[in-house]
Amino acid sequence: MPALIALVASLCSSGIGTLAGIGGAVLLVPVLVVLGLPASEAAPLGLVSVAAGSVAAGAPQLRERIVNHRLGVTTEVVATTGAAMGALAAGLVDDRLLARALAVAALAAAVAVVWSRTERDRVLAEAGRHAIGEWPGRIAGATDVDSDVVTYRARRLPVGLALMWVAGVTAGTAGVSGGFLKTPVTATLMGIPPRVAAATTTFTVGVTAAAGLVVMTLQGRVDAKASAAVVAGSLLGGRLGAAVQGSVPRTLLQRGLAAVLVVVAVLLWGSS
Amino acid sequence: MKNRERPFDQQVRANEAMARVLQRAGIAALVLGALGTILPGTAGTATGWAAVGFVVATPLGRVAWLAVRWVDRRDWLFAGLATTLLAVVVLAGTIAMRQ
Repeated sequence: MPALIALVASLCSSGIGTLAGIGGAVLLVPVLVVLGLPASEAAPLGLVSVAAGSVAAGAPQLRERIVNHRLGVTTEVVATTGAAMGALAAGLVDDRLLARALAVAALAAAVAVVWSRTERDRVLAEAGRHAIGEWPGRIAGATDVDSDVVTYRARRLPVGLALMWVAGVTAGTAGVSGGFLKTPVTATLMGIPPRVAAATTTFTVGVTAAAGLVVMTLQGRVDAKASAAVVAGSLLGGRLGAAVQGSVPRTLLQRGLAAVLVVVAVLLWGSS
Repeated sequence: MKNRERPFDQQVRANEAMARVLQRAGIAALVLGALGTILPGTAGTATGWAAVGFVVATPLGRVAWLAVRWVDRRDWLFAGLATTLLAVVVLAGTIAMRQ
């Protein structure tokens, strides 16, 4: 893959992905495959994009105290196991099957983008501002929403963990972050406030991607030059996307992205 | 003074330190990625590998840091989970090498 194409594709996909709130890899990998790159070579580039995005978003989210590391590490034990299994299996199957898995992931992401909605945080208990952050010894914490301090604790952990494993397998196989599944599961099913769910997912997808990349590097599937271009493109694209986020109508953009993902999924399925 | 800090103050301090590291890692990855794209030949490939190494090592280093922090605070359950998570990555790498 020429580095310039990888740079431009990752810059655009990360910019659009940041604007739409789903990250760039879910668009980058299908586009690279449609451009002619085998799915087995596009998947590592997707994970490089995910890991770079996670590193870039980490600092501001930590300063806002909206990442729950205990939740992230707990769910990530299962998701990383799934990602490693997916990456190990992907090294043994042919590109046609991988392209179809990617088509399914792109369709799932399109559905998630259209159905994503802003949920209201429920005030479970009064808490002082000093309690904002994660609480030691359990998967719980408090976060501030407008002028309220909202406390929360994780619910339905077994079902949540099962779905995190599915997200991990998707990431390891197709090279997309799985965040389009993780964030709704964490927020809606496990009862974590949406901002905390999104920030914690940003942390966890980085770990999933790193684990997948360790496997793929040892399998000899990572192209260093193209990966370098994806790192630079994703970091720049993410910053550009975040800079213009307020001036673009998000709903319109999400619908447009969903339409593009459906078209890409159909193209991928057809070409495989 | 450190012992008089409340747990949440310690968390804010630790998060700020981690945020600074992540910020620097992001800048380093961007520079390495750009150099890896621009530089020709072996130098470009080597810098490209360094960029990949950075974005892989940073999230895993963050988990290792959390494990140490939780051991320090005697939060054994989560320290154990973080260690297990790193062990899964090592195991997956070992299997991939033998594939």
